Amino acid sequence: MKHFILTVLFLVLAGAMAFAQTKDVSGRITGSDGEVLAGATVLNASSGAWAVADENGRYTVRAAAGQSLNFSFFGYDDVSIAVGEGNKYDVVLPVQASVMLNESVAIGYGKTTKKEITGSVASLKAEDLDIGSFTNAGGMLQGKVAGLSVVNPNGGDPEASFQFLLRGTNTLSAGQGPLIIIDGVIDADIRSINFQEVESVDVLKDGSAAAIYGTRGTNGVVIITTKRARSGNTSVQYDGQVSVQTVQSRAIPMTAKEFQYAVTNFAPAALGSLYGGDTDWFDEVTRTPFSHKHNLAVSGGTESFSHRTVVNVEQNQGILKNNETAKWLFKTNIHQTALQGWLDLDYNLSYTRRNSSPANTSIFRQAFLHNPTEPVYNPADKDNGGYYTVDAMDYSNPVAMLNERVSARQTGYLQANARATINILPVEGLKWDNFFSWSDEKYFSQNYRTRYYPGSTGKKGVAESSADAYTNFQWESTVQYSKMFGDHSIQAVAGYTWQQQMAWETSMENYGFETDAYSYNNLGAGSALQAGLADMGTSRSSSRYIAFFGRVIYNWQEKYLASVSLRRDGSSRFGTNHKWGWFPAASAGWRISKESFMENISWLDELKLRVGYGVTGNQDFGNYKSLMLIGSGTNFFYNGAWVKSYAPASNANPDLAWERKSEFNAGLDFSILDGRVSGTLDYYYRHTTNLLYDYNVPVPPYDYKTIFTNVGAISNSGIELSVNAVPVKTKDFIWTTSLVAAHNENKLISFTNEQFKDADYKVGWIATPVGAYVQRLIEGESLGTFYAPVWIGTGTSGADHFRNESGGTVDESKWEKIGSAYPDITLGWTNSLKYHQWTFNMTWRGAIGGKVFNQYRAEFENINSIGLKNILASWLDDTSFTGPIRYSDKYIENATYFKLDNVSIAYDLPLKNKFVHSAKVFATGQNLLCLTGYKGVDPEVSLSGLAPGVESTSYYPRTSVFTLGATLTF
Amino acid sequence: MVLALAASVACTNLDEQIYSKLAKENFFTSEENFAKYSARAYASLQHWATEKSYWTFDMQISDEVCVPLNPAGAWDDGGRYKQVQIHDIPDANRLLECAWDYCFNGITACNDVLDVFTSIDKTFDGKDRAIAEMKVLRAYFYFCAICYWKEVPFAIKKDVSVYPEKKDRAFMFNFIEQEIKDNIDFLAENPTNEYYGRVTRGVADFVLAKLYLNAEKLIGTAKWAEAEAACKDIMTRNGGSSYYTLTDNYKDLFKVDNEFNPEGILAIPYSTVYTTSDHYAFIIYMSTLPADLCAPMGIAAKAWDGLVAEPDFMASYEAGDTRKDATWIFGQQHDLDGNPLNIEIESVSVPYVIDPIFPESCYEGRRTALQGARIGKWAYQSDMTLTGGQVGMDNDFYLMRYADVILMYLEACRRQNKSSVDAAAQTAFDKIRTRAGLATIAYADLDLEKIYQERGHELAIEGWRRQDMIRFDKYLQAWWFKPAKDASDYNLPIPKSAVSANPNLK
Repeated sequence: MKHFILTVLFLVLAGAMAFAQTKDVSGRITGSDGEVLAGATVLNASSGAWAVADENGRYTVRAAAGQSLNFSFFGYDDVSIAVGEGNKYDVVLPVQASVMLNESVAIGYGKTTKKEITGSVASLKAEDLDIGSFTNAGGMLQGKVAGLSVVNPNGGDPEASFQFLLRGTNTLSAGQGPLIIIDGVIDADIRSINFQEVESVDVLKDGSAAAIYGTRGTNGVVIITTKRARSGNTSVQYDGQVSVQTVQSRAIPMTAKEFQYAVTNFAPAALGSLYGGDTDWFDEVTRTPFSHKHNLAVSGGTESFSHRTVVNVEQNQGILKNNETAKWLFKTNIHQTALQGWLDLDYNLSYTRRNSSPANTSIFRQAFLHNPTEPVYNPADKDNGGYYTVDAMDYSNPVAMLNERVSARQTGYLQANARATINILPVEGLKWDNFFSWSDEKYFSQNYRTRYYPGSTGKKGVAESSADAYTNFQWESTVQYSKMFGDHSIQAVAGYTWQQQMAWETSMENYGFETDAYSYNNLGAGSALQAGLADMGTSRSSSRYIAFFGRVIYNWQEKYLASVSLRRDGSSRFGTNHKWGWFPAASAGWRISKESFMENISWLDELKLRVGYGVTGNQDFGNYKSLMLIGSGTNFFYNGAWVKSYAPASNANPDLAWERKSEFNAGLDFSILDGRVSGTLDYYYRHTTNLLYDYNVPVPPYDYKTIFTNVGAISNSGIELSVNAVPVKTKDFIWTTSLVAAHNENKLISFTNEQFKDADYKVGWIATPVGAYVQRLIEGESLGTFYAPVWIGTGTSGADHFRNESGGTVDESKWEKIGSAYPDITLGWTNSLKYHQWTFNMTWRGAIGGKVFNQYRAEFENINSIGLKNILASWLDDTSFTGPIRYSDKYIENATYFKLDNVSIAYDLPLKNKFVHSAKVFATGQNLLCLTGYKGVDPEVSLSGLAPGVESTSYYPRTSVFTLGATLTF
Repeated sequence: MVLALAASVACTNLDEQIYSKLAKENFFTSEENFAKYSARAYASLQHWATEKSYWTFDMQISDEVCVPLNPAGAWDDGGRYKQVQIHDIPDANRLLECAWDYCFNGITACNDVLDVFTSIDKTFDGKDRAIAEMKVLRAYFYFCAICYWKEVPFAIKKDVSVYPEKKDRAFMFNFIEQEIKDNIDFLAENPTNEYYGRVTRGVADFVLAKLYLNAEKLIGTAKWAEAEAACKDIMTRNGGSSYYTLTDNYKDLFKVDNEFNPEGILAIPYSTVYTTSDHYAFIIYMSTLPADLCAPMGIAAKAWDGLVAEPDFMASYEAGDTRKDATWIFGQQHDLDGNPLNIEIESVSVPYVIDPIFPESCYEGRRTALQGARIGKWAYQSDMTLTGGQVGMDNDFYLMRYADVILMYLEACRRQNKSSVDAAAQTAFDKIRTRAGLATIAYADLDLEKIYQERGHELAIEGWRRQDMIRFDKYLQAWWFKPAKDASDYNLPIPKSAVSANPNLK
């Protein structure tokens, strides 16, 4: 009862304070650097009243005792004060750079600060990321992290995803994607979050940082933290944007007129291929796509219960007709505390739904090579649905491909997780954290090719349906302890993690429909099922990871820093002899600037030396690779009936293990001139052994021709530099710029050993008519090294001439080393210019060096290929070459490029009032310009895999994206 | 909490859970599965007639079939087809490798089945026969291997710790001979339909007959009498007559529904439904037909237009030999209703008339659309069920048939200069001639050249031509776009991939 009375009394008092008389509050706003902050704003968060500081930094605003005032100015951190009895408050805003050192950095199973970190970790906050339109959050990392290449090989595809490559290629056949952790969920789908919700991205680059993730750490760990629930008044934020795209780059074939000219003058034998029409096939299959995205976020609550809920709706079109994706996303994060501070609870629930009509990129290839003198339609040809049809291999009417196929894919991604943190209050800094996560990803794909779809005209309609489901369950339990003992600071964590991933895949196909009316909705109606020719399949697989891990981070006076971690990691994928492995790491840091002998160097804010060593693994390969599995194979006619035959589908390898990488990293972090210039320089050496690859073994005695086993070794070494600077900073104008640059050298150290000597060392097969392996795996050389005959000119006969040729060709043993696909230097350059409410951003990205194979030119810049098929218009620039097609270094071009990735201009509307807290409008152009000598579509091609640097002819054209958007906060 | 602690302690289990595949030890749980495991070895016979196989290699390396570039310029593939045509075959040639794989995948499969049969302690009805079937099947694969290669890896046990050593033809000859002799008595004598597609005594004798017939070229010692005896066994095992009879209509052997033909000794059963995928399907229609002939023939695919008959082989047929029309597609083409077809060449519509005779000079560029007879021996389904490279034909392939036994018998007798032959053999030979629309030839008039020609036309593109050309001393001579060679041409290089995987083969 007594408590009740006290509570009532408290509430009454609080109410009285809230209704207290408002008064004029005034003061002066200065920066921690002594600057007078004219133009700084002050906002009464409770009433919405606001003011701007005058040229002397003075302000006056209405406020009542108990209300809080927010002060902000660009280049400085916000400061909030509570108004008390007084009415004069001078405020000092800290310079942002000085805060930078205290910025928190996620390091996996915990956080540290920038100044304390000892590993190589790139940390990006939302404001470091470009604004614009992205198919997923991966795109926001392009050009932002030194040593992390993020490539979109799919151009303007609305479903485009990004390929990551960190510090070179460290594998021969395992995956190269980084381990993506979103809000604690390991191996999460980056497409399951909305890019506008990213609060920070931390990339664990070196072995000492990534070793805490053991066998999955080699490709780096990308830790994404999304915006979280926060206590406070309810805030509503709306982001909206509309965008259009135009073609930025594509392969350009001859027009009908050029085609006619070329055939008449240079290839009269192909005169029969002039059909009299004039069709721009690319135009026939494309459009100007329009997309819009809307994101609504609501957050707020009390210290003990708060939430953030997001609804996101997007509609994205591709330039290919019918190609589009619609996305709906719902996500809520709830934070709750209970049991008098003993328990912190954090719940996340999100559901992402994408409905798409995927692109068939071979339409672009066909639109390129299709004869421009053919008309689109031929109404008399009823057998082919009225499309103009010429039967030939690899030759289809692109409009028929587009119209006579419907394709739908639905993806649903459900993610639910809960984190319960038990704060063991009697022991300061000790807590026990349990995290449960469950995700369920479902794909449902259907597609139907009508009786008129080119290439399946005899099948009378082909319907396909597939449904796949993937679940990922994760439980982690960690005990964390952090404490300062005088000059000693300790942060320790020990934990256990258990994760199981399961996959179900089902597919069916039927054909032979009496009518196209069913589309893909009635598979049973096709006749192929009764004839025994329909297809059906299901499969299921699972994998499990278990690990025990621990880490201790220690520092003395924030001057001498050290971190040691150890992980005992197991995976079901490994052979019985190698289920478990140890992954140790250690790193140390020395903040030289904290030493007394450095005190007098006033221009130096921070200087830190870091060294680290760590072991990580890569186990990104298929399940069951270590076992001898019996697969059901063909049928055999046995005693009057067909019976299934069963045969080994692989050789057993009980020794199968992870690829093991050990890495040494040394780095220097610096900040000078009051944070005007800061940066990081890293050197690393990574040595990966136990590389997995398929080795040839004799049959007999083995059952299967190859065995997947650990043999080779690769090294990657390099230097990474990132520099942030504020070259200009005045009261009105601030220019910040950051540059990241990286150089990596890759070397295949060994490829064979005593037992396994033989494997396919020629890689990068380019199909006929080129018909060549373009790269070789050679010990001592970089992966991705092109080998080719060296082209020395065009002969009088119009044919290519090569060094060391005999009979017009060069024996493969005499092919020469042309160079590597990997660039020497990759660059990213981000600029932000602020003038009062205006912000202008510009991001450039580039690569210097590296080679790219121009497959379009090899196949189509050749009059010999003209006839039924079209060729590149660029052949007309030099008509002396008349073929035949021969693979040579003529088509291996320099891949150096500089791209203008992003230009945006944003304006903060001075619309601060009771209802609108902030309003911002922006306009962005993305992928605007590519400066390069490369003659193909895009020199920036996939660098992943064993044959990097090959531009495919089935591609999605590159597009420029123009976006208008607004952000309103209520 | 309790759960958490329990899990922390117990959950270190990383055994793989297998769902849609089988671990080997879980397969042999029933007697039925056990017996049917031999299907794995028999299924390796289905590689015989895939796109790149022992069979298609044999027809190309002999004078039957050539593969110049087609009108679209396809079928160059790094020159691999041309290398086979001119007998300049590097060890990296993919077709050579496929021929090797046919033999050694078959041997491996037999070894695996035998390992299971002998190592797993289970019995079932006819286990001895099943073992004998596997051993004779393995002997057949080894016979195929030594016809091509002078030395081969010898492995009859499944042991990955020891890589096989290579053995020469003399060793392998003895092994094959002994293996068949040791096992023949366990095999089914009467080749009832139950044994269709499987190894019977007839099959064992047939392989023996082939082995002896080629002995002179293989090991330098002629064994004509033994060849004669092996044939004779097949001809008389059913109480003095044969279990096999020649079929009346030659085309019946190759029609779509050609199973259980009484002339067949060993068939490879194929099915449009049951033997699919590029590893097991009989898809010669894809390799030989031009795309624009498919639809008029009732085939719903765009075929690849590669393999065509060599002109000299086409010219070698006697006038009136109906087997020429039964084997090849040439002359005016018709649709299924019998209407003559036209083809558009340079925008001009001309009759679709395929000329089987064309010059060697086509190898300087491409052959035209109207040059080169196509393979038509196995009747093509005309109901649009053939839809592409993954869908095979329904015709079974008679790998061994009785007409060959008769011809082998006559040859063995002629080689021994026997004055007369078994009357039943003469009668059978007369039937071979008459069903081909030709006059009979008495044994007395049957010289070796005639036997060679007869074998060529009766057994065209059935996979025996190379042996025959060697045995009749034709192989080293020059023929259409193939230069003369020395005796080293009798041996093919061991594929590079096999040598590098097993250094013992160097």
